[in-house]
Amino acid sequence: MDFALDETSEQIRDLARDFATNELAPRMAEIDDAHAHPWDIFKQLGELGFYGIIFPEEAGGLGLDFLTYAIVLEEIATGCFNTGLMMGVHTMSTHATYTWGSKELSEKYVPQCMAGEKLFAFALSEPDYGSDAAGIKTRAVKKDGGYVINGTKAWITFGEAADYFLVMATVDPELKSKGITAFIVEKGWDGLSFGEPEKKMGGNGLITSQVILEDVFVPEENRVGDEGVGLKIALGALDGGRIGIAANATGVMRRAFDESLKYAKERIQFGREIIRFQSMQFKFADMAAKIEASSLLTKKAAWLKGKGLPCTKEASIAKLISTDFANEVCSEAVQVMGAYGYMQDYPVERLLRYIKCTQIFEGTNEIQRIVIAKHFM
Amino acid sequence: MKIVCLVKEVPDSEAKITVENGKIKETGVKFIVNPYDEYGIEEALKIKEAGGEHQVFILTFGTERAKKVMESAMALGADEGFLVADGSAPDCDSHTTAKVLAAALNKIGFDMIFCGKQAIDDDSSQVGVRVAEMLSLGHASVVNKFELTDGKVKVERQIQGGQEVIEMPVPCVITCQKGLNDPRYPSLKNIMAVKKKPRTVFTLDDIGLSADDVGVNGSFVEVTKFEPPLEKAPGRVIEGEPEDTAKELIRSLREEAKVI
Ligand SMILES: Cc1cc2nc3c(=O)[nH]c(=O)nc-3n(C[C@H](O)[C@H](O)[C@H](O)COP(=O)(O)OP(=O)(O)OC[C@H]3O[C@@H](n4cnc5c(N)ncnc54)[C@H](O)[C@@H]3O)c2cc1C
Repeated sequence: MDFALDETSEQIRDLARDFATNELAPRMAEIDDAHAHPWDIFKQLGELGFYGIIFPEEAGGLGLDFLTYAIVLEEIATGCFNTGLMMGVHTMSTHATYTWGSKELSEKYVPQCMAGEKLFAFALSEPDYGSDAAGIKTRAVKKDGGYVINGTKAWITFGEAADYFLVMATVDPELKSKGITAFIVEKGWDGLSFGEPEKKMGGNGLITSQVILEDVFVPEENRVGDEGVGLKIALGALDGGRIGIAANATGVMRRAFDESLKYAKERIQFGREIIRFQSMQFKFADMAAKIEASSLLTKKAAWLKGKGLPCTKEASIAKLISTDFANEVCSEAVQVMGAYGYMQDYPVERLLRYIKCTQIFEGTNEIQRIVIAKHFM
Repeated sequence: MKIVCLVKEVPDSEAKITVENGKIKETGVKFIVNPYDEYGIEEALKIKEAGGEHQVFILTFGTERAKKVMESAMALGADEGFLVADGSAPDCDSHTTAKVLAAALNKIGFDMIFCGKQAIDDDSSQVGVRVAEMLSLGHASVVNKFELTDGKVKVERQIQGGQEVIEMPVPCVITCQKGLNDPRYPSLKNIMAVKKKPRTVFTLDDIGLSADDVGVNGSFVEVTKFEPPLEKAPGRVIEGEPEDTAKELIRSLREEAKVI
């Protein structure tokens, strides 16, 4: 296993780091307080080519491996967690379309998304079916050269901001998971509407809302893959998605560490900088160890995925450990900064509010444990 | 037009510089494109993007290591890169560096030359102007506004109390100041494309120079040693009634700081 980047990937990592430091970090709070989609950043990342990292060159991508992608995601999240999540979800939907969709479908949707001209959401969860994704009730009924889809998708990242939705629906509830099928639905199509943006604990730089489908007609060519492979597509996408969340959480931890360390070196109590207290140093030592462990687990899963090797277990482990650690690290960062840390004028409280959701989406951490346990049952 | 951008490899401004035995320690230091040179590259790319038959070249003089920085500069969107690689580069003064660059420019050809107003490592601010003089070209330094129309360059530079406007024909040399433009980030595609673009490494011989022309042999200036800046002592607040504090201030300026 080799996590060393070649010169080109290293330059791309440096670019992501510079962009995160100069463009994203100073705007983290502004983006998070906006309760709107950060369109300017979304477009800028597209123009620079960040959404094309894992797509082959013949598809207009950069043909780089998943390891480079994960490393870039970590850097971006260090600057702004909302931006990191945006890049992860958008790339996941686009890449699933490229991998499973017909050539025509891929040619129609992938280039615009890769260029950052259109935003692509991933719509699997429903109000009554979260972890139990195989049970989804959104129904697709075959009709006149296409399908008519009815159902409600819940907690969909981007919500009404998205241009396209990768919607999972069942063509036959009797078939259970074997009936689930993936479709691309466009905003503006008859019967598609949105719930009010959800009021959330954190991560308010991106909209989350219901996506409601009422007799939405989807032409047959917008079916992604065959009937019945939808859950496979979704879970396959989630392998990559989970590595993305692990990278996101690692980036957030790094930010929490940097911000609180800077503070600990300046804050004076009892006549000395608080970093001089050994119990403070131990906190940072623990944080550093958690960051390192998370980063390595993420890179291992990403490396496997990049090599086309099985990585379901490793992706789950990386997601589980990184997001659990990230919650601990963000909480400690607030602790180090005392009351200042708890105030919205300082950056760490929003990290703590955001980081909770990383233990919930793309499979709760309980579900990750189930996935991991399956490997030795 | 062949637009050549002169690019120097400098230590990252974030890098912690340490001095050992009168020399700067380079291990662990990251090297980057001199930030002022990026304004020149941006201006060159803008000319190219505005249309017409233009090519943007990067020219670097440094050790072999500088190839990486030349490539980073190319990643902004340049067409071709040239490196004059010689171990003597760190020992070259502004005159000698300019001599090498001028020789390389004669070799590759040029219609317009951009350069940073200074390098952030030695801050000598001389190389661009020296290159222009050696090539008998017009030049303007510390430029913050640039226009090119019908083979004529119109630039502006800040001078005491106002802006100076200069016009000259191409080819000429412009040294660029902050504010001239907003340098772009390299796109991922352009980073990837560098390895497919022509990159030439010249030896001194290739550009008609020899070891006698460069390094300590060819330089008028010899750097004898580097010293880290002295640690600044912390400030002192003089507290009390104005009559006493004023007296104390005068006393310490006279007796301690010895400045009055
Ligand atoms: C901010 C945010 C953004 C999201 N974005 C998207 C998106 O873009 N697209 C999308 O499709 N979804 C999205 N989701 C939904 C997310 O994927 C689901 O919330 C998640 O899968 C969990 O489902 P649930 O919330 O219904 O919880 P439930 O499945 O109801 O789980 C509740 C609790 O029970 C536990 N549990 C459930 N089943 C088991 C079991 N078998 N064994 C042990 N414990 C179990 C869970 O771990 C959890 O602790 C988002 C969620 C959030 C919070």
